[in-house]
Amino acid sequence: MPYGSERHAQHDPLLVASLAAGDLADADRDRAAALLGDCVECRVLHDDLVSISRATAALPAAVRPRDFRIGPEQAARLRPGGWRRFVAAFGSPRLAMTRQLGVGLATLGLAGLLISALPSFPLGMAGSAAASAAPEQDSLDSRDQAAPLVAPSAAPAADPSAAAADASAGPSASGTSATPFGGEAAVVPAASEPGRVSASDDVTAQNETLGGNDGTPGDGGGAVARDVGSADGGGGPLLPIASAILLAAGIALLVGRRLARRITAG
Amino acid sequence: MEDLRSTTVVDDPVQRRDLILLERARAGDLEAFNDLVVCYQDQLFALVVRMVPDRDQASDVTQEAFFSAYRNLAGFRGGSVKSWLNRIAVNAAMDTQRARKRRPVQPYPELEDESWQPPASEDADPVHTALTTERTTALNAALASITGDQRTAIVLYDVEGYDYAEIAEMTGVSLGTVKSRIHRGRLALRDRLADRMELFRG
Repeated sequence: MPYGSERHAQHDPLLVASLAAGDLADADRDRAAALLGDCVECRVLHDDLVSISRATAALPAAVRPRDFRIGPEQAARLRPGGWRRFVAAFGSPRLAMTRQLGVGLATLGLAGLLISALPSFPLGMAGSAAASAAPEQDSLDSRDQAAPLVAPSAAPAADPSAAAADASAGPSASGTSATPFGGEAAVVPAASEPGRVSASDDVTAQNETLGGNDGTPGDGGGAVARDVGSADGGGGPLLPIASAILLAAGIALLVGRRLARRITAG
Repeated sequence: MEDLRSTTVVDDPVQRRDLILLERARAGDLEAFNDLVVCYQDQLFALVVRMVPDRDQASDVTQEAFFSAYRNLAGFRGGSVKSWLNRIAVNAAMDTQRARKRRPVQPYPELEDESWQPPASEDADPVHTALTTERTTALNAALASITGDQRTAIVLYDVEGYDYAEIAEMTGVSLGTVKSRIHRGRLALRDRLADRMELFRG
């Protein structure tokens, strides 16, 4: 059987602390009282806790180091009037989420603008810009370089499924040239220069046979690209506009909150 | 503006005075608010410095509590102005404790100088005064070394005299948690004062 401290170590000090605080009722109180009657150390602990509690309650109040009264300028800053009041409310801790909201909106807006600026993105501004610039450049490129070099490999490179899809698109699909990234389709005037007739005609003939795929390197899905490109015709500027609005709203929130905090901070 | 006296049965002259001052402050009278500050600044600083045992920090927290009270005068919903101010101060002190916990710096400085406590009266027994000073210093040091949650609960219960339910509401925890913090906090104090318990016995 354990003796002294060894035995006391097995007792529950929280039970003794609860008894010292007067928080026990009925069975628990009887159990704790029996423990105190049986264990001297528990009794000492109990008395010490009561003494500490009394001493804590009797602690002298600390002397304040300064006057905490509020001056007129501080008061004006703390409770601003007019428009400042409205702006200051914006910076209150209750509206702390405006910062996160502002950052979120600005990030979304920025991301949207970046995505729409990518030349490969079909809905983007650059895509639209490329569409307007592409006819001259692409036609020259395809006639001057791509056609003689690529024409022989155009047929094997052509995707049969794309070709099938293209075939259903009809004659309007022939003679188009997709950008190297498969973006906006650009119309190429087929065989417009007499000196290039044979090569262009070959390509055009193959295109017509395969459904109009122009065989530009990496362009295995000209039809798909054209489909996206034609879908872009109506909704192109939507993403950049929405992104710009989001970015402006986010920045406005952040600037507003910063201004509000500056006003409240004086 | 809502008339606080009409919605609250106030027999206590102190509370009635507080409510009148608060109403005037809400109407824009800064002097009325400063009268309230004068009434409660000693008590509020004493409360805060026990929760945040760094005098400079406690001073800033107390000032911030009064700023917050002035800013949110419209948020007072009746009852005791003293309790309302205490609640604001406790929240401000708890925010500071949390910030301190997030980026632990040095432990609270030892309160060895006696500037924090009232001077002893001239007719006081010097031995008794010395004993009281030593006990207060030891207890303050022990209080500063326990966790902020335990310290807050003990100060509110033992020093400020709030009951468990009020402390639970103020600190946003359950009644059982408040009890547990007080019991464990006292046990922790006893551990830290183990070799100086003779100061407290008898």
